[in-house]
Amino acid sequence: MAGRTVAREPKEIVARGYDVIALRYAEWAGQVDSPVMEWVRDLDARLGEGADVLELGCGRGVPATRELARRHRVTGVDISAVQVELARHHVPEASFVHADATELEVAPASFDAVVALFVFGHVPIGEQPGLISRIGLWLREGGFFLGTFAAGDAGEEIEADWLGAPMFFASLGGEAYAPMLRAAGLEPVRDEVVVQQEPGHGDVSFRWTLARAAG
Amino acid sequence: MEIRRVGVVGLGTMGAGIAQISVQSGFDTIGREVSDELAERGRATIERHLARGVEKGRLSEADRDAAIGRLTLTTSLGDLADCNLIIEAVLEELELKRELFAELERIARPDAILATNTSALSVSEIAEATERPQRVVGMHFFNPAPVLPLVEIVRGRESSDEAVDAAYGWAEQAGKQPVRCNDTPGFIVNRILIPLLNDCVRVLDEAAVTPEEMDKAMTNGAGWPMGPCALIDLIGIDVHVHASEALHGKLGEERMAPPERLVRMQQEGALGRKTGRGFYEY
Repeated sequence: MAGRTVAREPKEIVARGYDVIALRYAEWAGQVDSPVMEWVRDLDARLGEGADVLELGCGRGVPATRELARRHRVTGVDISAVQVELARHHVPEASFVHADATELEVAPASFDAVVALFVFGHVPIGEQPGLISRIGLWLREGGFFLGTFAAGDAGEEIEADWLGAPMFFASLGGEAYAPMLRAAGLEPVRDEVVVQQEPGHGDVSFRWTLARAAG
Repeated sequence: MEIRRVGVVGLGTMGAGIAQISVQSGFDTIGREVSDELAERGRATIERHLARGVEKGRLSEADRDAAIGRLTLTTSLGDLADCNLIIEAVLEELELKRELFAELERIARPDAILATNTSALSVSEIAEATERPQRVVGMHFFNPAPVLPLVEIVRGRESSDEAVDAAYGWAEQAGKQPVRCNDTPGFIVNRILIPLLNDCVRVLDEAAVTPEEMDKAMTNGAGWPMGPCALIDLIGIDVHVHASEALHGKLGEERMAPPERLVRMQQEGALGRKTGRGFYEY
């Protein structure tokens, strides 16, 4: 990832981007050879029936939110109004909030799981550590965090045309996250770098982490 | 209604095949993909297949060039606004197709026929995402689309006769062999073939038959042009397992559920020809 610093409002770029590219993104994401369902099912199997699950960056709710909502009380959060609207339509059994995950007010120890798939890559690097430590506080003792982080180099960049709109990407670097998770009381129980083939973008690596809240 | 201009949404294996049929049959065709790279990949697929046609003497170079000249690519659905027929060939996910059809209705001319190439989803459920489901039909092509003649023209609950006839007529003009059917799970061929192939796989174990001898039995005893094990290898174990699960999920007959043996093969990565190993080694 390029080391260029971003001057303009990255969150507005992300929100507007996902509003504009909703359909193209959905078609594209479906073609990505990504292990989402395998990790979501792994998390699901570790949770008791009817767990309270918070999903940050839930997008249109398919497939992850829908899968989790089969057995659990899921609250989905997304910064794009269009994505939230689609998610409400596709997964009526879950509840959804249109919000910026970094500004979310959540009571301590109120969730059994927090999920953040392909979210941190859209959060400015200065705000990522704070979000990770707050997730640690939101989780009940023994709760789980499931997330992905860009596995490449640290930096921020704006891609001018990502499936039809500008998009903001950020990473603290693949190795930065494990210590940060531990500092937030989140002990990785499964941690793997997975290369996924993105049609038209080539191979992209993500660090997948399933971590347990020590409490 | 005369169909002059055809739109194809999604240029993966099926979409590229459908676009190829369309341009080869003389229709101006616009293919829509989500990125320029994917659109170009679709064009490359079509050009490769047309080039093979020239090599084998099935197609003249002039016809090939004319066919390629009828193909336009775009990443914007809005560019399909003046198409008379739009055929959707995106991922088999109901929510995605519903979002897409709602958008197609918004951008397409009011008299355009909107067709889905779904094999496992309900055409009616996709059509319900539009205000005018009368103009939505199924057009189920078989892989490889430019080679296999059959197209199932599927009547959704609300499809108008006019839309069904227009899709049927276009398929005939494109040199295909269309058949009409209602929107029932698996339509015609998959409804019959999936449980039948699953029976063949179960008999391998029940009657201790080798794949070679199963194929020998069905080609010589039932007149099949290809044995069931060779056919499943060609389709892909994963594709067949997925189709079996979808059909079983809708109709619930035990024969439709994927046989244990196929599920094991899938887990082991023996997916048939495409991985070099299935029932046979390739």
